Amino acid sequence: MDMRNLKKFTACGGCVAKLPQGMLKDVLSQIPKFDDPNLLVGFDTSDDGAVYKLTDDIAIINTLDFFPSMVNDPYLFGKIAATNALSDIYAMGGAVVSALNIVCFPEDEDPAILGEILRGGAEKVLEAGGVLCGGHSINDEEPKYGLSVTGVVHPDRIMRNNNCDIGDKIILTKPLGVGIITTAYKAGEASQESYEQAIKGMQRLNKYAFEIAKNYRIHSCTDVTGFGFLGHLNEMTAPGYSISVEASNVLYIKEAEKLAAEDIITGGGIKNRKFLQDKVSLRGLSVPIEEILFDPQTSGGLLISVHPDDANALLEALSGQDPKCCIVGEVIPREDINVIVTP
Amino acid sequence: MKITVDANGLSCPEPVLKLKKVIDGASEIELLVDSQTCVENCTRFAEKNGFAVTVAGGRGQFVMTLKKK
Repeated sequence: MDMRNLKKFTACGGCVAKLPQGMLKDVLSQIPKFDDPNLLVGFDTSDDGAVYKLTDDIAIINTLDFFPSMVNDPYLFGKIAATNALSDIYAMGGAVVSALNIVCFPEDEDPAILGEILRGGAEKVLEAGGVLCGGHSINDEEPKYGLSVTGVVHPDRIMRNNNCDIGDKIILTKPLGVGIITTAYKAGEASQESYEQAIKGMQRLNKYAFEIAKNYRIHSCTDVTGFGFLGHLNEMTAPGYSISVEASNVLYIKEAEKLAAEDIITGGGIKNRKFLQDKVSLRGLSVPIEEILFDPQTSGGLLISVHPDDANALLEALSGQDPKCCIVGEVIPREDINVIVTP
Repeated sequence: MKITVDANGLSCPEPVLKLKKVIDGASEIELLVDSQTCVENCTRFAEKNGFAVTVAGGRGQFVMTLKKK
């Protein structure tokens, strides 16, 4: 089964389709503020999910994510979209409880395609240990799919995205370049091998990495999605510290570098670069490597800020399952810019 | 001879990929795109391939003229 023949099938699916970060920040600043002492994490800190305290022991995490497909196989699309949506729960330090389907699909298309999307999604919810318990569907020319997910976390163990300690090491758990590879593959420009590497990563639940990481002294966690490696790293920074990155330590799917050198990059990557121009300094990097660091990721890995004495042990523990984990940088005393990248 | 490439409605990198197919051997290309992002990406690609780029229009309708230097 193939989704390519559908009337409207976007070239830039997945998290590449996100609205620009700058636009969102402007719009959100204009809506009423909610002041509730039980709202522990809202959208004012650009975190991965919202956290609301129910009791002293239990807080619920709410998150949702959906997008157009970046692959032709509907079953695979379902798996990737669900993996991506579930990821925010792990990035907040929680466990998945339940999920609802979010579906946009053309009413005059083959329902079997939709069936495959939903089957892929449901399998991932099952793997995450959650319950799929409903959903909502809308007639739309362009298929889109995702989940609204509810998770739980102890209020004292919430993993915020910007609570790093100076000296922490930053670990990335999946290789970059997924946006460039999947977009180029659709246009016949990327190899099957690179594509397989990309989809393997996108289907891998961040649950496994977080279950290992929680046994170490970790201080912050987020996942890499549409705003790219540098966009999400920027969100990990705070007024008290900056983050430095050594680009040569960042793992990516090799062919992405060659494609980026041919200007095969996504619109999302260009938007990310524009938004981050005064927040990130890039010193002496090649343009293709810069593009990879700005590339929007769909269902990307976790960025984990870990105590420096635990970093190597955590990397080793993670590498047993996810061989493309890498220590990409460290948290440093505040400089005049959020993220400093050197070769 | 001038070639016209209509990349309206396409998002990056599709306009670049369309351009890539015709750029070898071309002397002048008129490229139609509908976003600033595509203008920037295509300009970079064209300049790298030895073309001078001028852009007319704006707000969702751009006409890019690419001339071999």
